[in-house]
Amino acid sequence: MTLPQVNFLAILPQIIVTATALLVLIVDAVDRRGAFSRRALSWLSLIGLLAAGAAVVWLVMQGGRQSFQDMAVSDGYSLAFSAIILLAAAMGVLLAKDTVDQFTRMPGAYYALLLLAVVGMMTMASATDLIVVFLSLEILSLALYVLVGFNLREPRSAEGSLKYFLLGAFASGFFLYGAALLYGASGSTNLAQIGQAMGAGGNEIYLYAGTALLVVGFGFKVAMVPFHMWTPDAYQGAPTPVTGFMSVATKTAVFAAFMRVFMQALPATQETWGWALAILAALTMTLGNLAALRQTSLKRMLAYSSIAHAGYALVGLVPGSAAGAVAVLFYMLSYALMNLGAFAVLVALERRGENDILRGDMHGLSDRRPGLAAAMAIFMFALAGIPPFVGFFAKFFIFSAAAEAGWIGLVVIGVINSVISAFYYLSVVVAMYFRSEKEAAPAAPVKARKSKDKAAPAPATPSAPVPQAPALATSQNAIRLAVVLAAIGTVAVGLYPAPWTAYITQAVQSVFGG
Amino acid sequence: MIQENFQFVLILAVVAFIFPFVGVAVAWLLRPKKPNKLKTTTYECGVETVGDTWSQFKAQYYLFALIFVIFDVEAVFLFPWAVAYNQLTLYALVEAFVFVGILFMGLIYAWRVNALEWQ
Amino acid sequence: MDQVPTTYYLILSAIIFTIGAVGVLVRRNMLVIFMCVEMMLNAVNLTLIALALQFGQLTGQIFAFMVMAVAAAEVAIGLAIVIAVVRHRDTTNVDDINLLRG
Repeated sequence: MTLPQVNFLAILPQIIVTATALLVLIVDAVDRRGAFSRRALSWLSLIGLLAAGAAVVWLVMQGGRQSFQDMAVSDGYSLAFSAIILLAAAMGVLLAKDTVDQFTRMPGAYYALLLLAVVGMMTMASATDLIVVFLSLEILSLALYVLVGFNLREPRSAEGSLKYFLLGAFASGFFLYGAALLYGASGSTNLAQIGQAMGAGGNEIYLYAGTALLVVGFGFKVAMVPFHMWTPDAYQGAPTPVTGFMSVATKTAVFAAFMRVFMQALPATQETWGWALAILAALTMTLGNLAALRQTSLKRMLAYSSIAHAGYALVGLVPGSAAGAVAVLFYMLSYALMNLGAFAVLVALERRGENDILRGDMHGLSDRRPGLAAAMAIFMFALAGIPPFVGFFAKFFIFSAAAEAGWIGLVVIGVINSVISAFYYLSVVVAMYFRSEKEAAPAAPVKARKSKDKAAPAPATPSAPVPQAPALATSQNAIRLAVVLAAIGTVAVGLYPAPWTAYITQAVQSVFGG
Repeated sequence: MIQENFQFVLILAVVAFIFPFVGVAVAWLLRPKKPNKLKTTTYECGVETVGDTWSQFKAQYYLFALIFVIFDVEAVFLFPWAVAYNQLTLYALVEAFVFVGILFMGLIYAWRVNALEWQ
Repeated sequence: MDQVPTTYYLILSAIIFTIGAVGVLVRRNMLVIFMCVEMMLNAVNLTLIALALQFGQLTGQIFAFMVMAVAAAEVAIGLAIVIAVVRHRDTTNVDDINLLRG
């Protein structure tokens, strides 16, 4: 019996990250109480991510398409998405480096789960088979369910995790049924073969039902309205470094698979799903932005803003064109930079043992911490899509790709939404620069709420002892580094988008043509 | 034809439904009737239960169940591997060891964080 | 003897899937919701195996294996999360899980 041809080079970055995750677990397990692992684990994770990044670069330089038995490939498209995911993961590690002790006593498990989520995400970007898409979707989801609930001391964390889990598992069921129906329609789970079978005309009922179910499944994961209910709760409840990481990396990975599945396997029904996605995109942008307007918690505001951004990115998928895919990839890069930057600022500002920042807490920040305030202003301008920052070009590419394909109405809705979003992003800037600290009255009720939660006896559980916040002040160097890196990226890619778009265009065209 | 298959199912269902009634009815016809108090109580094997049977399991029980489930399902993948073992190459053997090895590291972690202790 | 037609399996699995999906939406106990999700996954397994039988391929069966493994992992993580929530709130009713709003 001959075994199928497998090319391990195609999944080299995934192998490196998996090995790192296992190593982190083992180091943590062997050195339970030691001071060594406390410091070493974050460095180990960072080194693993850098090595995976080097592998990605090496694969890019090799060029071409390496295939793992037609189930996963490494091509320009998957590698570009992998690079963004690795960037987000490195930021997630940096943000947690000095704060991880505040929300957990098991740093090893935190880093290992984060790395395993990265493995799932990168595999998702390179999946060319519905089985692999499903498996990688589950790998990343299962790791994230746990990461969201990682703060055992905080009831909100467990609650966000529960909501994310119940709705996520529900969505997985829909995704799976859609995949099964597509398999029934085409007799294959390979995306290219499904595309061929559908081009030749397959069973239409299976095809349309399968497409609709896949939209639901992917829609849940990218937080598309009306499947977004879990997003604000999970994002607010999760420890802030996790929120930053998952908001960016999950979207990146799921959009990678979303586009590959729909453009490679389902071009036959493009007109139908194009319309469906256009309506969902319009709903997602509008509801996300309107809900973000009335939030006082910055984490919750950024959660709704991430829903809105999923809507913008979805606009790029509507035409089903290579230009749209290029725009979505660039959008994910810019969203990674500006959103992770914003979350890095939140982590830097969080008080010990608290898990949220209110808009009132930002009052007078420009006097207290001018550097952080300036960085936050950059990220808010970028998220609002104001030139010359990267967010402007991201939106510009998305909308021009949609307009090229004739979706003028959708573009108008998108532009109106950008204006709406400017209100709440700029209100943060106003709070930082034009309000003094004394006006920070709205913060009071929530502090009362927090202390009430703490007054409730924290249930001492034998298996997972509840950590008390350490009294020592920790350094913020890693967080500062993350803020600076994100700010530089936001400005630099905004000022010089050309080299990035050139590479992204080449990468996408090598897969989708056009 | 498909209906013919289901005829067997129907017959089986009817027989299965009637069978216990026949048994009870025949016993009722044949047996002598001399009841006393102890004879008419419900039959219990073993010790009589105390309290409500809908008691909750302890959380520790679930911890073990969680770990058990993972290692239980690993067998799903090892079974086809074992069945086809004679036709496989060294490569497949190594693959299986990598698979079990990764799970084993999970077990080591669970052991080191005291998840296997009954507390 | 003739086999049961694939359509029968597909209709049955569609019914089971729908029961599961409706159960998730109408039931209020976390554990019951959880079981309904598992029911959805098993309905999909039935679909996959019926289709694999019809096509005379192994792909669908391999897919079903993967789904089983994933479902087991999901059970483990789901129960762990439920335990974490019950430790804080002492309830398994999702309507009582309402700290996060707005």
